[in-house]
Amino acid sequence: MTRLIRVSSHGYAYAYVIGAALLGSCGGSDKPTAKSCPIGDPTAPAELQIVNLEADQATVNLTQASDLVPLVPPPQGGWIVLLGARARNLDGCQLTLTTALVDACTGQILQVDVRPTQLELGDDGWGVSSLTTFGNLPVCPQLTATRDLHDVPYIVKVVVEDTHGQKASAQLSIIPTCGTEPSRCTCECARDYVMGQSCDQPPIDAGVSTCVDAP
Amino acid sequence: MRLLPIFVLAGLALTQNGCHSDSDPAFTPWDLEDLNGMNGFSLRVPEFEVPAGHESQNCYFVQVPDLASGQDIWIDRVLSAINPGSHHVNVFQVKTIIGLDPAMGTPTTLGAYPATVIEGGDDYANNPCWGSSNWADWPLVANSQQANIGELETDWKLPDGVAIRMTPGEMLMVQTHYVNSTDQPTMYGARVGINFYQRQDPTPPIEMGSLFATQQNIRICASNPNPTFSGTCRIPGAVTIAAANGHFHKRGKRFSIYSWDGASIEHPADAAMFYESDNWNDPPMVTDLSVAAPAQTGVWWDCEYQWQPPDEFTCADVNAKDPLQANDCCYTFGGITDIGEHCNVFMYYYPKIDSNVFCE
Repeated sequence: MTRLIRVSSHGYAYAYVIGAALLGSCGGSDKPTAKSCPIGDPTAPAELQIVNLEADQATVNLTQASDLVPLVPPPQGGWIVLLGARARNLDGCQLTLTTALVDACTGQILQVDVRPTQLELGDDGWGVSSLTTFGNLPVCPQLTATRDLHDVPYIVKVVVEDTHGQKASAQLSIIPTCGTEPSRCTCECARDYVMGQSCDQPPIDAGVSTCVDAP
Repeated sequence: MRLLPIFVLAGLALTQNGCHSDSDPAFTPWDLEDLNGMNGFSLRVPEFEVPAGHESQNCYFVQVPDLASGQDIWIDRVLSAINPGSHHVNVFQVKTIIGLDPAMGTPTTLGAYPATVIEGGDDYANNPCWGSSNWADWPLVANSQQANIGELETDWKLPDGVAIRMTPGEMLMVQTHYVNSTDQPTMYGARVGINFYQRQDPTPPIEMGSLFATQQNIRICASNPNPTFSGTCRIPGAVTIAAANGHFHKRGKRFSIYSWDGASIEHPADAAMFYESDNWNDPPMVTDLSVAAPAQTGVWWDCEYQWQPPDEFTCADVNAKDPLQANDCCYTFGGITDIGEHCNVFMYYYPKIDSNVFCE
């Protein structure tokens, strides 16, 4: 393995030396392998509950049907909900988290996000997605939305599956809700919002919140 | 802050620091014909050097010339030629100005046409040319990531009867990204040329549209070294996908794009895959596709990664960039290839739908 040593930050000379300590803060190996951490009984059926992050992105909420789930502005723009898993009877470190947004009116899947999640074991024997591994489910804008994407019910589906095949799924109806920058959020989450459209002016229409026929 | 491995210096000194290798028998400088008049137009980025151990991202702005007495022009072939070391060349239509402003650029020329340039250098943290805030509503016109010695040119001939619409006077942005590192060296200078061939057939063509999809909330961490991130993008109308390429950085191991039925959250079957790349620094652009995407369906893409330590920076630099400060050498979204990652889909389809298709 090579180790990079910074000799000078302004003389700009650096050297590679043989060593093993490059990753002292990074795990200690060029190609580390993921660890395994069973939660519960891996021979029993996996169990799953949906959790979401609140607007502070630090508070985990056990999501219930019809909950108001905050729309959060991610770095890339738009608005997302942060969904995770509270689960047991699977490997909490080798887990794939799938989150999906479903139009409650049409049943159409508007968006899917798949990523690894890691569960942190709680005192109650359940594991909960660590704060940095929640699913980032894009909610708006949605080019194919048939109604507003805020303050009306949408279904979220969540699936977790570990590398050993333990799998569980759950779904709930939630209400994505604008909290941060409400003016911009409600504008960009309106059905008729077009990418790049200015949100400096309030929306002309009153929104479309009821089910309508898909175009 | 740049890191320059000492062992690289000796090797690079003869090839990268002012000593062009145009005489290298393995490298033949590209030579594109110059288009003018009804044939189309040619853009030529002024040649520049990229210091060893550095990256360079520049944003050039140029207006579409008037080739048809004020009428829209239709482009049915895009031929680009790019010297090795290029990470990407993207051409966008400029729409809403957010941060990156053509008026703030330095005057230059792109071939025969006046232009401005905002040189981003490797100041990814501050320079607007490195930003992504314009991606949402600046439609992609064309792109190429191919620039190896044996294949400097990307010749994209659009399907019969299909063309890109351009309006005289509309602003284009040509973004170049060069890397001069051990695994993507810029050994012959940074040099880019693009020819836009005007369609000669007088019958109205079908307009080509583009789709830009990106997963920006990605994390490739030492403690979880083999993550895969997937996303989906729905298209409201029935279209045919004609060309595609994927884009990620050094940790990227496999990029795949599938047809997606828009109705299932299960991963599409292997048979639905129409694009695959295992090459982060020279990914192919597939231009001969004819993938039908019925209305309300779309695409699913996977970005698979293998964590590895940075080559020219350190994990401390990677950690400093992590917004969550996890101290786990987590690569997050970012343009610099050594410390940032991408997961972007560039796709072209027809007929163009009314709205720009951008998925995140």
